[in-house]
Amino acid sequence: MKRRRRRRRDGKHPLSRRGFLRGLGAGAATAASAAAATVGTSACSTDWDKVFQKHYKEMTAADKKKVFARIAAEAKQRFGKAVTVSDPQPLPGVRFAFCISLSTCNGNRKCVHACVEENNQGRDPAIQYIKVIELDRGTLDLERGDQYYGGEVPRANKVYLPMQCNQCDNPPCVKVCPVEATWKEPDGIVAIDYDWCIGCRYCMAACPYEARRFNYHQPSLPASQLNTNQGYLSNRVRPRGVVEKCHFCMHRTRRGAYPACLEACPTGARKFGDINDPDSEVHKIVKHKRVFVLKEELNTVPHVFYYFD
Amino acid sequence: MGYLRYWGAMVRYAVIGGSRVYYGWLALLACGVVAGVVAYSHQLERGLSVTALSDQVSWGAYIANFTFLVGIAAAAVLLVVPSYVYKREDVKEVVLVGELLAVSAIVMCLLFVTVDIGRPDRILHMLPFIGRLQFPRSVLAWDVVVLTGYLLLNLHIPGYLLYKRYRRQRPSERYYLPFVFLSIIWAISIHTVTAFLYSGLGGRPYWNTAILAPRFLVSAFASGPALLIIIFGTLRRFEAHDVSESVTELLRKILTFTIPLNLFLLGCEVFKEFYTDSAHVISARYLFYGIGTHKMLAPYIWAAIVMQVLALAVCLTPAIRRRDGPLVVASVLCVVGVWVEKGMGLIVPGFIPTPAGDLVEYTPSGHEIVICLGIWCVGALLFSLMTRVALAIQNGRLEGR
Amino acid sequence: MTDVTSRLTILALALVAAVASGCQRSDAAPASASAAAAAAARRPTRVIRIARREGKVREYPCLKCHDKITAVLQRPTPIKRHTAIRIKHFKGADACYVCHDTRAMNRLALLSGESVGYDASYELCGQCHGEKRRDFAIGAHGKLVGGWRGTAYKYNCVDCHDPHHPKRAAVNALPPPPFPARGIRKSRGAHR
Ligand code: SF4
Repeated sequence: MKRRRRRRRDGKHPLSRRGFLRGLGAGAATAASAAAATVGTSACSTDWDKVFQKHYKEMTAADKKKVFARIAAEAKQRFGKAVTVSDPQPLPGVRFAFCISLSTCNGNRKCVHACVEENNQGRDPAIQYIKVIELDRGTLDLERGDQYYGGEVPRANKVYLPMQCNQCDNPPCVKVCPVEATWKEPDGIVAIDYDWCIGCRYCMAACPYEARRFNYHQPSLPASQLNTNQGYLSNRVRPRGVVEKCHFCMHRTRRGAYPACLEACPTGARKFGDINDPDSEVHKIVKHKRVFVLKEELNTVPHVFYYFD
Repeated sequence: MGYLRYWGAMVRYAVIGGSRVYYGWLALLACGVVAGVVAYSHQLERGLSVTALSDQVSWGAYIANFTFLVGIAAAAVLLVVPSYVYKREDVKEVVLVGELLAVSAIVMCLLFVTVDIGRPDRILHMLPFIGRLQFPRSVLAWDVVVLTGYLLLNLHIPGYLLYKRYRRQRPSERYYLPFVFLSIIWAISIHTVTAFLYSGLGGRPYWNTAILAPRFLVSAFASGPALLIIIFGTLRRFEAHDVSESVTELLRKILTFTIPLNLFLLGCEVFKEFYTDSAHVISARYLFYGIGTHKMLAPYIWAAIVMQVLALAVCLTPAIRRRDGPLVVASVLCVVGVWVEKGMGLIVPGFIPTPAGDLVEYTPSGHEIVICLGIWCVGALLFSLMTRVALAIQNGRLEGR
Repeated sequence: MTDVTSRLTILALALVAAVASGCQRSDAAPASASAAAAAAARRPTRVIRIARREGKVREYPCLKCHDKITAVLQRPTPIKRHTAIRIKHFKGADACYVCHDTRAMNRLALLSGESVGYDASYELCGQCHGEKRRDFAIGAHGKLVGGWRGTAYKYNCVDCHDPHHPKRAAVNALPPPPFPARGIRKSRGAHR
C-alpha cells in the first residue's frame, strides 16, 4: 500500500482513504492473476526480446512477468526509481462510464493536470489527455469553442466542456488499426499496447473526439514527477513513436478507485462508475437526468455522458 | 543458373553503355536519393519530431504523396486494357513502360507509408502470422495487402514476358493472361481502397463523402496518362524508344475525358460544401479561401484548378494538340494540378478543423520535403533503370544466347 | 478464357464475403443474461454515505456558548462574534434563526418545524433547492470520494457552498495547453 503515491488535496476527508482501501481490496481479489513485477527481480533484457515481444493478448503469464520486469528495469535505469508494473484485469460484469455535469464544471483544469501527473505523460512538449473547451452559452458547436482560455473562471455566459476519450462501444479507432494494437476491453476501456503500435496514426485520423496523442518526441519526464505505480496498458512511460490516450485510469479504476481527474476535480462535476450497476451514480444519472453524448450521429456509442443539473 | 545469368545481364545493361544524358540523369537522381537517405536517418534518430506534423494535423506530405502515387500506379490499367484486351499493337509496344511505372509507383507508395510510421522497427507486426494484421477489418491493412499484391502482379507480368523474350521463346498465355485480367480489377481496387481509407472516417466530414473513390479514380486517370505522355515524349526526344504517335493520341483522348470529369466531380464537392453551408463547410472554406489571414492552401488549390483547365484547353485545341511540346507542357500542368488537388489539397483540410474544433495549419518541414524528394528519386531511378533494360529486351537489343 | 473469368468471379465473391464478415465483427462482447446475473451477484453493494459535517464546523458545537445566550431574532450585520459570516443568500434568509434552531442550538430548523442535525444540513437546503436536492440524492450533484465500488462518501452541500454566501468564487484556471506553433487564433465570427 505504501507504494501507492496519493495526492491529498485538501485533507478534508479522511474517509476517502478508507473507502478507497476497501475498493482496492475487492479489486485485488479479482486481479489476483495479474502479474506484477518489481525491480529487483533480475531482468536481463536484450533488444531481441523487445523486437520479438508478443502482442499483449498473446502473452502468457510468464511472458508478462518477463516483459513487466524489463519495463521496470528500464524505468529504474532511466529514472533511478523502483517502479511497479502490473496489469489489473477487467472486473466481470463491469462497464465503466463517465458522466460530466456541465452546469457544475467551472473550467479550472485541475483534472487536466492531475491526469498528466497520474499518467506519466511527456511534459515537454506537453501531452494532455483532457481538453476543456470554453463555449458560449447557447451553442455546443466545438468549432466555435476555445481550448486555450486562461485567467479567472468561470467567465460570464460561458460553458466549459471537458473532452477526453469516450471509450466508445463502437470505436472507429479500433476498427482502423492495421495491427490490432488498440482494442476494446470487456469493461469498455479502449486499450493500447504501446509495445505493439506501429505509429501509423490512422486511429488519430479516425477518432471523432480527438482523444489520441502521438509521441513525436521521446516523452520527457523529470524523475521527481514519475508515478511509480504503473499499468502495462495504462500509465507506464511510453516509448517514442506510439499513440496514447485516456484509459479511464485503468490501473486505479480496476482496483475500485476513482480516476485521478475525478479525484482532483474541486467542483464534483465528474461522476464515474459501473453503468451496469443500478445503484451506481452513473447508472442513476443516465436513467434520471437528460444526458447527451458528443457526435451521437456517428454511432460511436460513447460512454462519456454530459448533462446539466 | 540461366535465370541468374539473365539477371546479371539485365543489371549490366542497366548501368553500362548509356548515353551522357542517361548517366547525368542517374547521377542527379542518386544525389536526391542520398539526400533523402540522410534526411531519413535524421528522422530515425529524432523521430517524427523532425516533421511539421502535430496531434492536430497528424498526416501530411508523406500521406499526400502516397495517395497521389497510388493513382499513378492504378493508371497503368489504361495501357493494359487496350493492349491485352483490345490487342492494339501500338499500345502493346509500350505497355511494359506502364507496368514498370506502376511498379515504381507502388514501391514509392510503400516507402511513403514506411517513412510515415512512427515505429518502422515494428513493421513486422504487419506481417500475417508473425504479426497481427487486422485484415480485412482495417482499411489500411487492406491497402497494404492490395498494394503488395499489385506490386507482385506488375512484377510478374512484364517479368515473365521479358524473360521469354530474352530466351526467344513464345510466352504461354496461361502464365500471364489470367494475371493481366486480375491486375485490371486490382488496379481499380487499389485506388478504391485508398479512397476508402479516408471516406470511411465518420469523424472527418471533409473526407466522409461517397464520391471520394470515383474522384480518386478519375483524377488518377488524368494524372497517369499525363505522366505517360511526359515519359513517352522524353523517350522520343532522346531517341530511346520510338513510341508511336497513336499511343500519345490515345492518352490525349483519355485526358480530354478525365480532366473535365475530374473538375466536374470537384465542382460537385464544392457545391455540396458551400451550398449546404453546414458547420462542416469550414474545411472547404479553409482550402479555397483560408480562415482570416491564414490562406496557406488557397493559392495552390486555385493554381491547381487553373492548371487543369489549361491542360484541358491544350488537349482540345486542334492547332497544338498533336504537337509533342505543348502536349508535354499540358501534361506537366495536369500532373502537378492533380498532385496538389488530391495530395495536400485533400489531406490537410481533412484535419482543419480538428474534431475538437482546433484550427492548426501545416506546411511540410525541410526534412519532410527532402525525404519526399528522395523517395521520388528512388522511384524515378528504379523506373529509369527498369525501363532501359525492358525496352532493350523488347527491341531485341538484349538477348540470351 | 471462360475458365479464367469464372475463377475470377469466385475469387471476387470470396473477397466480398470476407470483407462483409470482417465488417460485421463487433467489439462489444455481448454478455449473456446468466453472466450478467452472476456479475450482479458478485458485485459489492454500492453504499453512499454523506460525509459528516459535525466536527468540521469551526464554532461547533453551538451550545458551547449558546446555552447562555438567549436566542433573539438577530439581524445579521454585524453578527457579534461570528465576524467572518457575511450573509448573501436569498432575501428571506437574512437572519440566523431562519435556519438555525432556537430550541436546539446544535441543530438546524426546517420550515416544517422539525429539526435536523448538521450532518443532514442538505435537508435544509433542499427545502428551496428541490431540484438540486434530487440530483444530490442520485449522485448527479455533489462531489463523491472514496471510489466507485463498495462504499463512498458524498460531500454535503455546505462542504462546497458556504451556506451564508453560497455563490462559489471565481478561481484561476490552471495553465492552458501551449498554443500550437501553427495554430489559428479564433476571433468571433472568423468563420461565419
Ligand atoms: S497508430 Fe498505433 S494504435 Fe493507432 S492505428 Fe496505428 S498502429 Fe494502431
